[in-house]
Amino acid sequence: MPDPLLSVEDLTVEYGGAVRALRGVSLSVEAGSVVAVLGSNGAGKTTLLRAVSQSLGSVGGRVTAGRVRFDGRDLARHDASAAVRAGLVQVPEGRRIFRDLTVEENLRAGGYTVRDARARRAATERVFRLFPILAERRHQRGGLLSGGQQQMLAMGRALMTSPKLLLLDEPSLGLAPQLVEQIGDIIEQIHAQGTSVLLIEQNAAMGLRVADRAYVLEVGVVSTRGSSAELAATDEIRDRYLGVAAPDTDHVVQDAPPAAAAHLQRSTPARAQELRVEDLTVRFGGITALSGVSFTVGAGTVHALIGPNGAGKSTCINVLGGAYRATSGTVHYGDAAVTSLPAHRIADLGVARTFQNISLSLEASVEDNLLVGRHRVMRTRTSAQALRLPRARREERAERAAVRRIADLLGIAPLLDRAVHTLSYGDRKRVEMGRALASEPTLLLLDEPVAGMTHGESAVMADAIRAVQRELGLSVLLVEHDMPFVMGLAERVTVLDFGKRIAEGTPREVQRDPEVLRAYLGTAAA
Amino acid sequence: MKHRIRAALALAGCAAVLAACSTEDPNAGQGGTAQGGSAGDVRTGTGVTADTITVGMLTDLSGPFAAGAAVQVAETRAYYEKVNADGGICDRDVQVDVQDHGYDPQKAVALYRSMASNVVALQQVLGGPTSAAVLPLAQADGLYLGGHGWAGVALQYENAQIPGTTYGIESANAIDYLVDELGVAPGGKVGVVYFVGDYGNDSLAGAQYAAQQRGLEVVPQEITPRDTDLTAQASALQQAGVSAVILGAAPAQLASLAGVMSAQGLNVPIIGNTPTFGPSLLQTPAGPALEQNFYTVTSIAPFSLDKPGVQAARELYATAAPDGETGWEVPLAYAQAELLTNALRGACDAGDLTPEGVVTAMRGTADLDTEGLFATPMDFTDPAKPPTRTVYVSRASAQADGGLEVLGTVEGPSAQSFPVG
Amino acid sequence: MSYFLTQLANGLSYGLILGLIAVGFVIVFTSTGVLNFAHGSVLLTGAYLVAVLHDPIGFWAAVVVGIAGAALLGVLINAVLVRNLAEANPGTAAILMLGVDILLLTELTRRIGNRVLPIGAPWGADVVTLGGVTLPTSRAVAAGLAVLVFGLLWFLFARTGFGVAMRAAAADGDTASLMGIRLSRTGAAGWALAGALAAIAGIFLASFPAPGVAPALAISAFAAIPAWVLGGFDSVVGAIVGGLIIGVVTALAVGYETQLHFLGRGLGEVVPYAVMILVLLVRPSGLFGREEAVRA
Repeated sequence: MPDPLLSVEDLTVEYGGAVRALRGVSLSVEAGSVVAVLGSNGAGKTTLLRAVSQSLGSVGGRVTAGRVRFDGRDLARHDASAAVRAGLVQVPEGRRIFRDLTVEENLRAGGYTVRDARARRAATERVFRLFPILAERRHQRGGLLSGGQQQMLAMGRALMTSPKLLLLDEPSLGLAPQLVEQIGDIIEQIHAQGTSVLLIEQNAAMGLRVADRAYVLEVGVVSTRGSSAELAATDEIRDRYLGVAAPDTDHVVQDAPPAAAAHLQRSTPARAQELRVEDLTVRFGGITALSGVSFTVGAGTVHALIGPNGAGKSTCINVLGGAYRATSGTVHYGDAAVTSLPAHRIADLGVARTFQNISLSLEASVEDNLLVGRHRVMRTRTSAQALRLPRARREERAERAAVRRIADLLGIAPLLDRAVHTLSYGDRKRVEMGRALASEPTLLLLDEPVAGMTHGESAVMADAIRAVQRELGLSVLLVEHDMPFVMGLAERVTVLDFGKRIAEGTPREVQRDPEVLRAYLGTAAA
Repeated sequence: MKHRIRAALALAGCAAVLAACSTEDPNAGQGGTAQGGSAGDVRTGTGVTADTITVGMLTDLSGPFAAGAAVQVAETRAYYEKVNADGGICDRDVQVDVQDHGYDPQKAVALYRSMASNVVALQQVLGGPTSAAVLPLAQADGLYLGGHGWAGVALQYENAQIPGTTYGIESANAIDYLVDELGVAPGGKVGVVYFVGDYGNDSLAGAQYAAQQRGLEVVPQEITPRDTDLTAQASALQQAGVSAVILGAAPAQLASLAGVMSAQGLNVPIIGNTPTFGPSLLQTPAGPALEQNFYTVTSIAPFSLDKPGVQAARELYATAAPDGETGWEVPLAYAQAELLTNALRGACDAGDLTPEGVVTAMRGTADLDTEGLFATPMDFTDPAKPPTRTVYVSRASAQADGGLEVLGTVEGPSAQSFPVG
Repeated sequence: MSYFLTQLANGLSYGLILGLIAVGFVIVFTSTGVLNFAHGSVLLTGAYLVAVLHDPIGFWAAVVVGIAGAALLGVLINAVLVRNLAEANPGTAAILMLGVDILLLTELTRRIGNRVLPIGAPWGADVVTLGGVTLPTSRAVAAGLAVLVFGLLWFLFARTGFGVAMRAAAADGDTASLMGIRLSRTGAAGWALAGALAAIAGIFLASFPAPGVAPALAISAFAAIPAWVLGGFDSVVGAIVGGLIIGVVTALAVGYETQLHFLGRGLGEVVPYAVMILVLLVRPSGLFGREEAVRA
């Protein structure tokens, strides 16, 4: 048997000499195969890819034991650039396209190491054949592409060097189901053209579909390995990552009463109110992001906003949170006209939100980030805190206790002392959610709360949301692509496409709507 | 922020260079015979022992004015070596304690504090902001302070010795010279391009006073040491129709202004204050324009003046620094050393070689002849009045040593009546 | 009218020179994240080399040496100091650059002394007159050359692989290194470019109507800071436009100071900063700056 293209042997990686993100991980990628690495957030998947592509340095990580052999060579002591020249290219998590460069320039940057102009042209042609949409938009700036197109650009950019091995970090992150399917097809095509692929996925269904072999990474060690078919058949994988036994709403609510629920208490009497969005239109320059959208979120209900990438969902959340101004139309929360208030006044109404691109203080600890959320409800003045008066100290203890309850609920209590920048994407999502909850909102706006999470993790998140909603009686408006999550949680669903409302109803009604199937869910959901 | 600091520094530096000049009489036989005096009869204080007299120089050897300061230090040291070789002062050798304040007022103050208990007088505190910081302290200590430039503010201090006259009087003389000698008619306009700060504002005030006296109109243009391209200023002056320009700035500004004005066909006289000129300007593209239009009014004699005092300064410098830069710093350093030597000898003769005795001796000098280093005999008896109101007028000339050819001396009517202090 | 046009032409040509300097600030900032407060002394170094070498080796050869020397100095500062910083903290680097600036400036001041060194350019103190507008020849040459240089920069950044790589590295260095782009190379290239541009600007700032090379030349580089900031810190186009705005506004403020005397004297000194603040009030990220505003 020939040597594998990539072999990782007993790899251990540390961050800052303290946190051990990988402990003795071994895996191999045979030439011409597709290998998937599954695992929860914080398992060390991204660290593994960075160790392979020799790009740990920029995030402060270091290989302390083991080695990475690629194509018969030990890659240690080489930099990322040498790895690229050797034929190993990584597509980073979150796509990270160069927003200010045109599509063509992005590809050119990707092909930087290709010295031969003819080879570069041929590579460009190949990428355009694989992604015809990129050829159409070759002169557009990368930042103007939709999420799915950006993922294609990120992959095309990496393919410019005609690598032997392509490393993909969460290619389906934040994409609509239909697009996830398309990306899966493209990975198969890339494979068919002779490129080996090492793929990290939280969407285990997609990962196992395209991969020959898979590894499951848990807290820095490989827990399971095998062919995709073997893994897909094991109960544990089905349970935790595939969510095959998709729970219906009633089942979960009765079966898993969240343990922490009883401890949450409002410090002020405030009640959820009805949120009425009427004829909302938002234009940026010449682009209409939302056009005459109306819907109502009943007091104390969970409402979902779904639709393809670029349908205007985040825009809608941004108007509700006060970050964008409505061009026309109104939004009322109870009696207050949200559309005419600045962002901080909207927060005073009891509206809290999370962001798609997570917005946390990276250097501060998780606990401090959550305490920031308490700011709105804390009574003691800053001066009293500065003087550390007894009253302030009492309150601080109470606040820390409140924050701990929220952390328990979201499963992030063990992370309270960690600095946010050491956390994985999914854990950051939960911290952000915790911060929003800490402000004791009556309306919670969640932008892709479970993007980047495994099925098991998103189930925990769903439980948590359900628990706080019941305990605090709050309303929730969420934007999400994870259909089992949405269908299991939301009472009503509004579907947007190209800035217009194309359907609304209960999850069951919406799932059967032919218009929704065509625009969004695709064949997989049918 | 940074550039403001630097601008301030540079400005201060220019002021410092200016301040550094002062002259004293060469061998002007002050009746008393210092050499002959008997050491035993003299009261002494700080800075004087049985066989040495220590004088201090706080100068800028590492900052923006290092080059000009070095010329002055070399000349001053050579001067005292010669004095010592000729028998010293009051039977004592003179030692010069040179310290580098690097153009930093904080550092100047600290150095002053450590120096004040070891010296009988300060030969020089170079720099506008540095001398401004040290002047009040020296006043409180009753310590003679020379070589601090020509800013009018020094007239408030009993212990400060102005080496000549003030910038204001220089500029008033410039206006008088324009009217009386260069044919600027009453009703005409005169541009004044000046540095913001003590130096430039003094210069502007003198020009404005004199212009009013002589029926001229002043067109002011404020600049900073950072401005080295004065095209816009020159165009504005041309637009205003000026028939002459007075410049209270530094060599870089002079070269630019003269070059641009000439290029624009505005060939009118430019008269600069003492620190405005440097001989290296004549090698720049502005050289021809300078030779055609530039005049300067100076308290200190230009390097090329054919008078015994200046000649002595030149000869001394030729041996001390044969390859050194030649400029007005040479006669200035020589003259300042003469002034202090004169005060020291006077103090010795009066039997009081203490710091206070030196200041008293300086203030007792009513008619000091400097053999041409200054334009007239110097009268230091009234602290509130400058020792003279007469200036040298010279014009740029590539043939002359130091780049300036002396035309004569001036003390015009406005300069005589200009209210100083 | 011709007075106005003269001032305008002056302002434009001066603005283009400021643009050369400001672009250097931008390129260093985007390629290595450093606020390069040593830019002024790099500029002075380039001009100083030309001033001392034009006599022995001829003006044009001296120009080549001056530009190469300033570029090399930039590369050295980057290689020796910036790349060895333990933490990529912009504040630390900026303060380090202040230190470098003081060191270089002290040494150059010591060498130059109180002399003004002529730059020895063939255009000397000539002027060109066109339709009643008089402009120093050096400024006309500067303007033409600056436009040419900006054209070359455009070609570099838009048409060559290395230029695109530099932009990619500036936009997202971490990702760019995953593409095989060596940040050490793009960083060095950025410093070299900035040094070369500074030397070109220095030669013209030391040419007529300025007298020659004097230490104060280093300070004039800081006149480009408002241009850099109002253009948006990270935009080459912004730096050029910023330079033109500052150049024209300064020239007009000084040229019409007599008419504007109610605003006080010394207007030319203040106006660039006033314009900068006004622009930042209206557009906090500058004219062409990348919007850092909240995006959900």
